[in-house]
Amino acid sequence: MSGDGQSAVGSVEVESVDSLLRAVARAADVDPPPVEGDVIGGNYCIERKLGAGGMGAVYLARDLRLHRWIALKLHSHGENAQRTEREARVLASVVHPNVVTIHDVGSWNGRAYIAMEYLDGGTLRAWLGARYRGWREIVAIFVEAARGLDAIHRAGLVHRDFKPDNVLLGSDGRVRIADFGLARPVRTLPPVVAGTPRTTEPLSPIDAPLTATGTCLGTPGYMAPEAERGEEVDARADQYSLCIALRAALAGRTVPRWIAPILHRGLHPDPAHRYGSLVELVEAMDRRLRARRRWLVPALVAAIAAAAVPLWLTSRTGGIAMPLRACPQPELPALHVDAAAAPGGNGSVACPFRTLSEALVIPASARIVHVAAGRYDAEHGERLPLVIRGDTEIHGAGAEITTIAGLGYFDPRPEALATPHPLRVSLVIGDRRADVALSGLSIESGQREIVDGAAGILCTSGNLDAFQGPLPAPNTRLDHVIVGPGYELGLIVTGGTSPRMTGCNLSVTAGFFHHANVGIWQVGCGTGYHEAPTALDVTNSAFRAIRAKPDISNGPSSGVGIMVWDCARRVHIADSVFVESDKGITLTRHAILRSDARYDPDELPALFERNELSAMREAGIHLGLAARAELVDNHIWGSPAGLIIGAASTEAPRVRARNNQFWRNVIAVNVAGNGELPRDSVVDFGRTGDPGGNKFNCNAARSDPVAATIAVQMPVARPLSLDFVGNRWDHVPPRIRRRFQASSRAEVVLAAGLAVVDVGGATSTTTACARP
Amino acid sequence: MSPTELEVTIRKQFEAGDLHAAATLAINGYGREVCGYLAAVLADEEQARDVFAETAAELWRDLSRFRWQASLRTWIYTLARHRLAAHLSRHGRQRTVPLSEAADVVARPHTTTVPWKRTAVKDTVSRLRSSLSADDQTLLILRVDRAMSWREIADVIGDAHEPALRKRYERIKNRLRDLASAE
Repeated sequence: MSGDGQSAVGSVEVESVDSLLRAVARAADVDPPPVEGDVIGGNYCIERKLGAGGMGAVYLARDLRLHRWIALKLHSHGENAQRTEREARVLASVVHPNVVTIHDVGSWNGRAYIAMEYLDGGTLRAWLGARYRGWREIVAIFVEAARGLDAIHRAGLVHRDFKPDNVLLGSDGRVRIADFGLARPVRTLPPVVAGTPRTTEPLSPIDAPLTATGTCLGTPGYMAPEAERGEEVDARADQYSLCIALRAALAGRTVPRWIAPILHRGLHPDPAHRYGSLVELVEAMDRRLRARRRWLVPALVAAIAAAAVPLWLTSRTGGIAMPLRACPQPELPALHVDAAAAPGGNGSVACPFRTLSEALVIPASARIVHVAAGRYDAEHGERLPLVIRGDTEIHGAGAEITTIAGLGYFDPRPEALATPHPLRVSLVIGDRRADVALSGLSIESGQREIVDGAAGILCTSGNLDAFQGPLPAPNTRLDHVIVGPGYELGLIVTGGTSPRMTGCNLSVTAGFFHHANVGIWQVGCGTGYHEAPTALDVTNSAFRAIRAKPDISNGPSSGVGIMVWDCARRVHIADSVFVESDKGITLTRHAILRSDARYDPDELPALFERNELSAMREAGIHLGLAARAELVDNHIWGSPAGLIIGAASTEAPRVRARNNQFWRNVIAVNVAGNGELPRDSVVDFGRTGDPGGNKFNCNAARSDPVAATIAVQMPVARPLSLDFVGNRWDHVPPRIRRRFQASSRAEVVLAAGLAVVDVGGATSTTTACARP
Repeated sequence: MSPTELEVTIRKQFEAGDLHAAATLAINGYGREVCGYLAAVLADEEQARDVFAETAAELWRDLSRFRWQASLRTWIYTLARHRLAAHLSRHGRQRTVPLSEAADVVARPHTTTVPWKRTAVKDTVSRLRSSLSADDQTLLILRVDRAMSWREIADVIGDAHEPALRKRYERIKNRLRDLASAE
């Protein structure tokens, strides 16, 4: 503001303070929501609100003329009206039992509405989550959804936002595709069925697309690669989305092998390699479903016969009793390592087996067991030392010391890639008397599209409720372990079910976890039935492309490099790199963290830059309830929040940070979120005589100068010990410092530090506390 | 219908015992501006509508106890402010975007125009507004945009006297001026 009353707001001159005030105080009228009993369009009597979304709200209403319930989608003003009209026209052009029926379209108080069929069965997502569903049930319902999508494609449209939330179920159990807000005509459709001429023009006169090519529309996680790139999409993009949703729905279930190739083709990154139309995909599934039904009874008879007359051909190869499987193979007994017969006596056991289909159990009699197996060797072709196919559990039970080295689990042969199969491998270390060391373990599926929903390695001390004696803690060491891609949990560490247990010590060295939902998940004993490791050491490991789920229904477990949940006595993370994870480290409750991890600056993907939504909930380190943390030499780069210190707890956190670099975070330190820290909390970023040496360079790389202003966000209501002394605030613009210093509602002492806060737009929270 | 006529009509219906008609007219008559006030503070229309729905429900419930010591308009703003405060204490001022709306967030048209040139004035104004507390925003909106008297504003904000409000208004003004000059 200049002295003559002229002010510059952004790049525009504002005449006076009064005009500035008028601009800030401007509150345009907004139509209130309809209330119960309001009649919309002269015919639809509002009953209640069903939900709201980005484009408006959906109400349950009564059709007064025809005496039926309808869902009335009432859109907001502005551009959504155009979208509403288009959506209505799209819907009206498609009549199919698996597509939601539209009854009417109109406007109310300047807001467009669509009256459509009311379906009270909820969404497909809710249906999937309501209870356990078998694969057959899931596939059947997706086949129905595919038929609905195909009808849309036949009308010359592509949905572009297929996901379980946009599939509704009626009370009759029939599914309907809904929510066509993003639908648009396709320019060129592949032939729908054989003999049908290729469609080259839109079949319905829908408006030109609202968004130019190059804009990315859809829901992250369900979008086809070409849609993510902003390219022109056709019906095959919907096919990809459907297969993504189906794959996720089938995750964790044992499914017949014929499903995998179908999904594999539907999920091909290149649309040209997918099915030409959903009809083909549906036919492929239907064919197999029918075939399975036809053979179900004989197969059951055969399975019973196989169980009654076990014809196992046994061969002894290097100390392993290996059953040769009949084909097909319903169940196989566990493979046993016969330690006594091994060349090294109790010293070691070599396992030159070729195929491992079920559990490998290390006997209790073995003192030292060394399971060694090589990886795939392309030169030897079929002479693979170890190929694991099918769900597998490897038990390290009973051995005093178990070493499993060089266990290969990767089958990159072309035929394996062409016919991928679902795999779940669990390494169960189940005896507390054993010290276990794993090295050179590689668990890779090579088929990320197929493998999902399983833990890569499971370390557990099992259910030892019945065990009455003292329990020496075992030490488990994992060296050079590679897990991924595609596992929900790369490594799950849990102590079993006895509250008496004291946990174990686990160390992971040079692990590589990629594309898991949680790299390492340690479950503690806060609820009394789980026990944590006494210590968790993770050194020199990499957590890469940890996947964020397309929804947040699973809460904080989405996309975390290391999650420590309750009661780890000591967690030490050193020289580890976290790239692309939703959160680097999440720690809750009594865990004590000492971290000097790095958050790699060099490989932030483009996805991170443009996915605002996931960006909003990402953090380098997230400390939950009353966690105690010593943070030294961390390099936290590029996450929207460098460090989040949790609140809303009666327990006071203790956080001490030294010599950390918070580099290009939108928020370097976010204290408390929506809650408050207890009075005796200590957040120590350096005290007098002990300069912390932390460096804060917030968001210098981001183009938005507003977002770049946030250094520390602290909605702190009570006094607490919070010291920022001797920290460096590089590249924080002087005008921001001035702004910060101008707002001096100091409840927190910040010596020679800086706290600012003003996040414009959608993520605003404002509190500034300072005493320079 | 002018604001005065609206107030008179509602009062007549109230005094005639027709609370249903009075409440309906009050919501229809003042709904848009009160909803607009809520949307300005929350920066979100759907959230504003939810808060307004709670306000309307409270109005229906308590209208019979209204003593007409202030205007009905003032009272509705008071109810709205209370509901707003409750909403903010529940959810904070952060706008949470459910992931189901990811498509909308991502669907914002990409542009090569740098942000500060794109909607400079709008962004700056919303930034300045969000730098104020909810009550300061309320004061500013009611005084400047809704042209309420200091007395009416004191009724809405509660336990604030006219001189104190004037001082507070001046502080807000100075703060906005300082912030704008720092831009």
